[in-house]
Amino acid sequence: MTLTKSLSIFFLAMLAGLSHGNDMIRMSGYGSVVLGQVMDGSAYVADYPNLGIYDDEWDIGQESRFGLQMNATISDELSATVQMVSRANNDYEAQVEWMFVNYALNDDLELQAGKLRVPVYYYSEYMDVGIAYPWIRVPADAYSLDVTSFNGLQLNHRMFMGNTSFTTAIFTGRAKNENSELMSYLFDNDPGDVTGTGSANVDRYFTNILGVGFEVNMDSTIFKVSYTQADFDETIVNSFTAEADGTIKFMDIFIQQNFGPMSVMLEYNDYDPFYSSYFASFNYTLGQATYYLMHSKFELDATDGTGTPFEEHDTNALGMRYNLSAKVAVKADITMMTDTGASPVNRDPDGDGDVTIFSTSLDFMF
Amino acid sequence: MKFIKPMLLALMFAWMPQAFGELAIIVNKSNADNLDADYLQMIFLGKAKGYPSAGKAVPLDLPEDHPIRETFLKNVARKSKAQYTAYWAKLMFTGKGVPPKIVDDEKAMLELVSKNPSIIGYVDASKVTGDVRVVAKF
Repeated sequence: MTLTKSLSIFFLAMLAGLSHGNDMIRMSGYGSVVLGQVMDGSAYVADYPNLGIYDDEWDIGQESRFGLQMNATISDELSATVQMVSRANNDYEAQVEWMFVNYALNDDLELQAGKLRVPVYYYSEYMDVGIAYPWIRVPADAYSLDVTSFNGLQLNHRMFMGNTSFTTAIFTGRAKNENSELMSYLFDNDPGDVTGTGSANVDRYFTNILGVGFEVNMDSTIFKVSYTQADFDETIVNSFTAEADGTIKFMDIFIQQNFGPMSVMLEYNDYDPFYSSYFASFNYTLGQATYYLMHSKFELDATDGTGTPFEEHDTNALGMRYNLSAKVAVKADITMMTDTGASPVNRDPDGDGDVTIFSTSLDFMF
Repeated sequence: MKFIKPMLLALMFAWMPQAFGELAIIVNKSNADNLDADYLQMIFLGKAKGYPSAGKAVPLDLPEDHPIRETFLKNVARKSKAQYTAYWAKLMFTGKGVPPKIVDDEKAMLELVSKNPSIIGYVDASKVTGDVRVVAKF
């Protein structure tokens, strides 16, 4: 980890050095400042992968983040990219989110090697880039995978027929999530503690990851489907020690249909053997404003003796995005989560984790 | 409360008729290709990387606040300013593409197009000189 970080800082510095008077280097960035507060209820997990949790005091330090990217075009075929992200809930410590080389085999085919996003969801690869979507956050119920990056190879094939693009991605590699923040939190002995530091330690390893994604992008219709499998190894150390291994399978399907100023998005995923989740969003754009109504649900496969899932909740959100300029937007959102399983916050089994939260954000890019 | 004003503004903009200057898509004089609106859109959105006959296509853009850019976004990119930005943000921050380079003004655009057979750009039709070829007008 430290080595990766030092290497990437070196890499960034090197690129910065090269960029002096060199127009083959591009620097760009993005950020979101998000403020949230629980209005009713105890706490709300807004961001599962990075463990962003709000309580009843307003907080700007859960989902706020800044990303800085440098892209170097080395030749017509070869480019290198590094993207560092600082997250408020990680003390703004810069972490390498992406670091890869991209080699164009021909006009349609490219090979990426390095640290990449696991491209399982429709928004996987840019879920941090708030300016690129209407909501304050990607639907938390449906975007809860604890591992977001992998080290490996990805082959992208892109083809255009008129205005329709067909993209196929095949990826392979491995990922590790040692002392996984989310899983350690969920398996903590002191579940009421929303600060998230507890007694549990969960290490997760995914090896032999093999996945394929296929996306069709038309003028007013977007369709994506992905399938990923991997060997899985998990160790939970708490007052007890538990080990699990096996094969995981992740399937995701996304569809978006635009009807003039309106659009409908649907995404469903099934994570075997753990859970399934989905979201549906209706969006309406009027001038610089986009209004949305979003519904999502998360359901853990594991159930208690009565058949009730250990974790189950669904969420309704109503919100608005307003573009101050092409590169700056403000958003406001009211989210209501109904908890029908054991609450992700306090593990209370009788579904009393209902919560209403207000959030507002400023999203930008440069 | 904060959002009432933007909401009203949004309503106003949605109904306000707007007038723009005429837009000319320009290429180097050595480029003899005919490019229709769909192909132009593909070039400026990075979907087509070359010209139909031969050669790499390098699109250029004008600064965000340039008066003719609105006509360009509406007719060529066929995206709103925010959609266009989000489109490129998605590609850029996932390492899948880089947006067209932005030149300072129409003078720089004309000069670059006249010198480089790969470059394609746009200017207000009234600014076109004999050093470039107009492939389309909107």
